[in-house]
Amino acid sequence: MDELNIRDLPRIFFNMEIMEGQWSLLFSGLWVTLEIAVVSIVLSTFFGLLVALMRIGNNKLLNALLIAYLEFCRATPIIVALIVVYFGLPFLNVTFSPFASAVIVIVFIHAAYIGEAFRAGILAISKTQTEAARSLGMSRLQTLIYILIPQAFRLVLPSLANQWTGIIKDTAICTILAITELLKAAQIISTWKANPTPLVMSTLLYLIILIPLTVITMQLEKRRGLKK
Amino acid sequence: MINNIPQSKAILSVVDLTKNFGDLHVLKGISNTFYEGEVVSIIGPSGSGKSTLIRCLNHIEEPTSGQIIFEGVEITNPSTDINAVRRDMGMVFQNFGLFPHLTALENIMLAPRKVKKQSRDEAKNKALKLLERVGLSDKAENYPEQLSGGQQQRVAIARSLAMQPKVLLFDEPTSALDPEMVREVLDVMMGLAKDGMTMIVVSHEINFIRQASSRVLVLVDGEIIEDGPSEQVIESPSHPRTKEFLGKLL
Amino acid sequence: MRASSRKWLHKYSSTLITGICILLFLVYLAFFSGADWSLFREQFLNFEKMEGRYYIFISPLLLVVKISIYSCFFATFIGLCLAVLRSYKIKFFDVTITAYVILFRSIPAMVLVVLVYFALPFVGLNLPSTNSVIMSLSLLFGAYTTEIFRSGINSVEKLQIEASKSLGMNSIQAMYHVILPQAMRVVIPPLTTVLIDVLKTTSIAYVVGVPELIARARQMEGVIGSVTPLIFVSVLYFLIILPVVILSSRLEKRSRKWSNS
Repeated sequence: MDELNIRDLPRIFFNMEIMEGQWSLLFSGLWVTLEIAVVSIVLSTFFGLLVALMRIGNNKLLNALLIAYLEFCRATPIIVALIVVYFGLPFLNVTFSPFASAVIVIVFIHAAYIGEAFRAGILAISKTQTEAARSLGMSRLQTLIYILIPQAFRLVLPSLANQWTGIIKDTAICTILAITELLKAAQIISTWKANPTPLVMSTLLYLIILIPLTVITMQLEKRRGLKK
Repeated sequence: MINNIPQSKAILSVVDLTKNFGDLHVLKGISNTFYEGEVVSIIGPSGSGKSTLIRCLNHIEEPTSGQIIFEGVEITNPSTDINAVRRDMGMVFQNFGLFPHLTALENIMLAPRKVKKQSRDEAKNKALKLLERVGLSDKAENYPEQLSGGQQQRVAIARSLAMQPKVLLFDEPTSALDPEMVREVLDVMMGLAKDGMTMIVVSHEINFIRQASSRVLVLVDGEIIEDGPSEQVIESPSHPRTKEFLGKLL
Repeated sequence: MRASSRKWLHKYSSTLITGICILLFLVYLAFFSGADWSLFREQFLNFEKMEGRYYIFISPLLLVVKISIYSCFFATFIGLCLAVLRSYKIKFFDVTITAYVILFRSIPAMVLVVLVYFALPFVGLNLPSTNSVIMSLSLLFGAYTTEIFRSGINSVEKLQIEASKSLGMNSIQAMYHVILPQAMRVVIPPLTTVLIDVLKTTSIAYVVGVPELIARARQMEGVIGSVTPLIFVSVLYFLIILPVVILSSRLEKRSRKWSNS
């Protein structure tokens, strides 16, 4: 390996012979990653909205609790939380499957961020909107459902897209659990074949999913910047 | 004068209404009665509490003390269903307050459908008629940001009318508009006055007061200093502060 | 008076209800949920067993700080250089830098760390795992800092450039003396967010065998048969990151005031 020839690179990193017969494992890993991602995205968006709604009320105690929750999530690495839930809780006879642990941790942490984004979105809506809706006889709940939430979604879309991308990226951290998601599958094949091609292929798969999302996020951010 | 009939039924009474923002006493004991079919204009220098007063009337601003009685119901009582009261009290805002995520038509249809539980077709038919009434039939499918300020305010008026309110409150409806758009909004408001709508208007549009308003309240420093028929207040005000204020206005 | 007390009740009823709910929940957890609290204490808060072992965490803690500082330094450096290069609006730089930003904003940190660690030896580069982590994090966060510096530079009015040029400065002088100092104000709050993310992401080094906090905690966990070291490490992380989180939200609030005024 001392003298590296440029012509060797494809043989090392894009060795398709190595991948023969291994694609099914890689794609089943991809499927697991997507499952974790989709379930986490749906749940954390839902709970994030819930957190935001609880925070815009005037409940001081609830507010303080949720701020503490947000700060906790901002200061805790996902990998630490994941290890505590998956490897720690069984000591207390509380056992979650790897899939459940992954979803619980990702949702718990990202719901805090998404909640903060929604809260900012709802607060950015002009007060006249609420007043207009209320003066038409709509209840608080109706105002929320028909006026505030639809507008908040638009304002929040760039940060929401950003968070969703982040969730998909964080699924890779679940590779430390006993679950064969995309990165784990690639590691298994790479180690077995002693060749980095499977890892490169898995990276490409991640990029195929994530690059469009990143580009969309950047476009949305740019548009929001222009509107200001 | 069109609606000079104060002998008719009282619709909205205010008794000793006060509103404080911290140490600031914005309203210092307002009492007045508004009658069915009246068009009342509230004028006064800025900071006199006009907007606060009109916002208290439908409880968007919570008064500090005092009573507001609308059709025999005391709306300042915490156990009153305020949403039910507001259904019968329309309000038009200075900044229009159209819902930006809905078209003009949907803006008008939303409350009748969700609050009054009207069917889609029923609400749509009424909304189209209202758009015609404010002269915007061709803008039904436009979103607020595609409309001019005057057009937005006309849609906002139509939106309030869709709830068939018994009273319509206007909070400086033309002060956020470019001068050339004021006319089209005032025309709609005068049309409403002619049709016998009960209106309480915070506005300095002297043309509107002259042509459509039956009574004028002058509010200075949170107190009503003058209350009388429009002509009398405008042409021969009795209070020196009114004279001073009108002098600047005319 | 009765009306005012009713109003008070109306206003604070939700807070009261929340308080009562939390209290009931705590009572339930403590006495009725059937959870074994002695087990919880033994497994999660067993600091007796940790006694005399705390020194083990000193070197990994320093390592985490070292990785963070190096990564932040390189990421900031990359971001600053690329953002300045981009501001000259040369087509080639524009395209390559945008591609770099998109690529490294898209790739998951975990994937990059594993890939770099696993793949580099195949091209004859035997980096220590710590360095491969620093390299990965610098590349990743360089993409974010590039964007941050770019928006900082863009936030400076064009008039400022024209004014400095009219004073006879060349474009490098204008950048150094006029634009960057002004951009810094806009740039610092989001940079602290990057610092938070870097600190958190160093934990990924665990996967490639860097002897950092989590790795040590898991070793000790096996020795003493309790999860307490892990809890200790999560508290440690929390204590390192929290001051930066607080600082970051303060700065953000202040910069919002700037932009409003």
